Amino acid sequence: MGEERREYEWLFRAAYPGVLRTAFLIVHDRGRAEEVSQEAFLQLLEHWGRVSQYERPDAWVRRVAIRMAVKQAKRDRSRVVLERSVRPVREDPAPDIDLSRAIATLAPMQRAVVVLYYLEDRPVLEIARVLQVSESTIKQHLHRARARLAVLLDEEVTEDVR
Amino acid sequence: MSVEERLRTGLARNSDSLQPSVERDLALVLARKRRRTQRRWAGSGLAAAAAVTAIVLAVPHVGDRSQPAEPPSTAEVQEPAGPVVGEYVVDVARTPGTRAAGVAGRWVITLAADGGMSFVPPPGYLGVVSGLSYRSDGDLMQTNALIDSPGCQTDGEEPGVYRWTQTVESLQFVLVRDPCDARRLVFAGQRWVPLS
Repeated sequence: MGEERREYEWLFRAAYPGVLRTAFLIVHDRGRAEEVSQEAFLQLLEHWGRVSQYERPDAWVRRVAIRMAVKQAKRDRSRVVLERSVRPVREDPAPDIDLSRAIATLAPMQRAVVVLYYLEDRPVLEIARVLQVSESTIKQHLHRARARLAVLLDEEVTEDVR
Repeated sequence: MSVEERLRTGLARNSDSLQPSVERDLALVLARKRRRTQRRWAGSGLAAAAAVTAIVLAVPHVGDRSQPAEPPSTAEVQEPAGPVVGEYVVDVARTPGTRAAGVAGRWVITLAADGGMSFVPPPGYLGVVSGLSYRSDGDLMQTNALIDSPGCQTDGEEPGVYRWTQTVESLQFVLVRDPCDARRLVFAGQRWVPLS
């Protein structure tokens, strides 16, 4: 096995769990999250010669996976609307089921923003770069998402966006 | 509790509840990469062949036109390996039977053009997963896959025989005869989804 392949596999083992978990919280489906994450890592492998020279190849693949997860969530959302009447409700194994269900009601971009801000503790500027929108759009998404979640979860809103 | 605090603690708990199958997923990504590369080579080979054909047709023949073309010798004609060649993924459902045989979970299966067959098994399967083979004859396939599973070495290691059907979405096998329980559980009635 070549040195490049070894480095790729090392990065995969280190970064894949985090990327998969973030994708999972955006798409709300393990199978879909695996598809998205694997496709992102496949793209990383395809471009490994170039991306491995970057300072943070893990950040590259994470960004690709998050963008793909948001697109996937948008597709799934429109499909769910079409199939809602015939599809059985999927069991959600999350420990905080109420939170999981509440987040699932958010628009995909809002979900991604909430996950990146509250789970990964990323600053607004970085989230804006990852999702390719302005900082003010991210702040708006956060504000709306928090307000909606507060109502759904019967909790209070107390924090301002950094 | 504030909604912010609930989000921080709840998202962390929900995130931690997902246990990734890192080695299995790494194997899947590497297998997909190999498949893509093979496709590209096949595509570029076809393009090159088309270009050569175009050149040959464009250049006027200078030899004896009355000489009939030689038929290709049998040695030059390769038997096609069959449409089942490729890499597939199959999820064997968790039932008491599949758990007892150690075959429950996700399998990644490679059917090579030379009749070789290899597997990336789920963690519970401890048998041999490489150096195995299959033979496709029409819509019938014979294989010695999973031959070292318990109960599969009897009757002179008789191979399993299945009838296969293929659609764009999957490859499926119907049992013809197979004395090996583990193999039946992985093949018969399962949907093998091609990795793209």
